[in-house]
Amino acid sequence: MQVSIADDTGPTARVVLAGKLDISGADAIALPLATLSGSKNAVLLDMTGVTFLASIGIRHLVSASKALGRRGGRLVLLNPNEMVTDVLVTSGVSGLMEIVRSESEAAAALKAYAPG
Amino acid sequence: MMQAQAGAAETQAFHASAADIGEMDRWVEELGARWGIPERTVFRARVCIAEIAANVLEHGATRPDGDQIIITLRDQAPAVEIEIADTGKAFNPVTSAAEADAEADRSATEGGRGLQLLHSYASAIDYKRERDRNILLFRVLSA
Repeated sequence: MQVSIADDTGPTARVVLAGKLDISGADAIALPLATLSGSKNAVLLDMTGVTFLASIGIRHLVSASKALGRRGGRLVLLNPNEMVTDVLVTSGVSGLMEIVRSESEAAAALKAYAPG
Repeated sequence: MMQAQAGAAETQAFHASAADIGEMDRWVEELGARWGIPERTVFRARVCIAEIAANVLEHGATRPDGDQIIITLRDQAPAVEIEIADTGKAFNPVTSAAEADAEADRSATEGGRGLQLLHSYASAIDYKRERDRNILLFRVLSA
């Protein structure tokens, strides 16, 4: 799993993930996701390059979503593929985060959490 | 790793480690492609296998030198049949399903999703404990 923090200079952050969000991938995202979700108003995870998702990865997404939610923020997932989306929906967590399908939707979702 | 092949069935043994869980996923993905199983079916099979393997690694370890997970895949087009034998602690995911569902229903919790995914993606799930091994048999068919 490759984790790239593309932008974390403002009140929101954008993180690009690529590869498998499995037991090893979960290890890779744990620290950056926990750090950003504890300090930002919203976090956008670009999931376009995520090819696999298991429950151990979901665990970190839910944890980040909860941390952001406690401060009125939101976790936004950009463009997870059809099968990864199916895992999110089947596991019942899709309602805890916002799934967007385009850059314009992502920008609109983040704008609400970046006042000014 | 050991390998045996008999027509449209293959067996492979792995250690219950994070590195080998990655290896088993690559093996299932490669086998599914070689057998021409639909990508969606292979993906769901990989999710089920990952959940069982992670459970052995996280909760079922019994041996200081590492437990073993032995996976057999059988091509039963359009489905794939999967048998997972492991040397971990006794764990019956069939009887544990209600507990997992209850935990998963508590949407604020981070855990409890693995068995929910297994029961959503797999059918004809059968469990037995034999010679200190968990043996789980199930089928995966694309929706």
